[in-house]
Amino acid sequence: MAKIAGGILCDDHQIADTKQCVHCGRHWQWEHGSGKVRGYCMNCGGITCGNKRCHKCIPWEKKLELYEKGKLKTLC
Amino acid sequence: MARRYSVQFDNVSNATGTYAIALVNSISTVQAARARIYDFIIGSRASVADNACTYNFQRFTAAGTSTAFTPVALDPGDAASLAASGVNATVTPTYTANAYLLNISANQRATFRWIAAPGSELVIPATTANGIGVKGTPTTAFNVDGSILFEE
Repeated sequence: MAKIAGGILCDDHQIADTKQCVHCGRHWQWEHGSGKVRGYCMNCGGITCGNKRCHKCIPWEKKLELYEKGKLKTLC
Repeated sequence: MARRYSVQFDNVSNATGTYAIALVNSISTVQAARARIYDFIIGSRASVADNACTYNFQRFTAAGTSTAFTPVALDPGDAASLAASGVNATVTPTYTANAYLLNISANQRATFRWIAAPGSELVIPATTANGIGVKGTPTTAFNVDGSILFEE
């Protein structure tokens, strides 16, 4: 089971969890049986959002550093 | 320990044409501190109605034009925030295509809150003018109120 990265509350009741991509930092609402294809990075040990750009392993912290140094054009 | 700040938006339209309900961005690379959004609360005090709206958090590389809001330190002993923030944008920030960080759909009747687990915040790089904006895409526009909490 992937780590819970966030929670959604509606009128003070928690109604859903969010998960986070280990390669781009994106959050999404976790829905069992949604049919959406996600990924798992064996190197980072966490789930990815399924975006093609996140198929290649560049850990999120590393990506931030590269971006801040101007060695990466976009963060997603 | 990280310093925490609040950005508030009050009676702001969530119409698509306003481009950003609220945003947080880095002022300068000199600050060498990344802002991290960890809490987002939104609701509406407008007359009760059934209107749906999708809220998108998206990265941008230029902040556009908005009403400046000075982030309020949650601890009064903290220094001023190194990041800048704005509300009710009238000129769209330069959003990065497909760089959606969180998409939420909520009804006007509900007060909605998203909280990040520690270490899972939405991170803004310490790069000049880079930030995250919250956009609304409603069925029928209505005014919203709320807060973005971030740390740096």
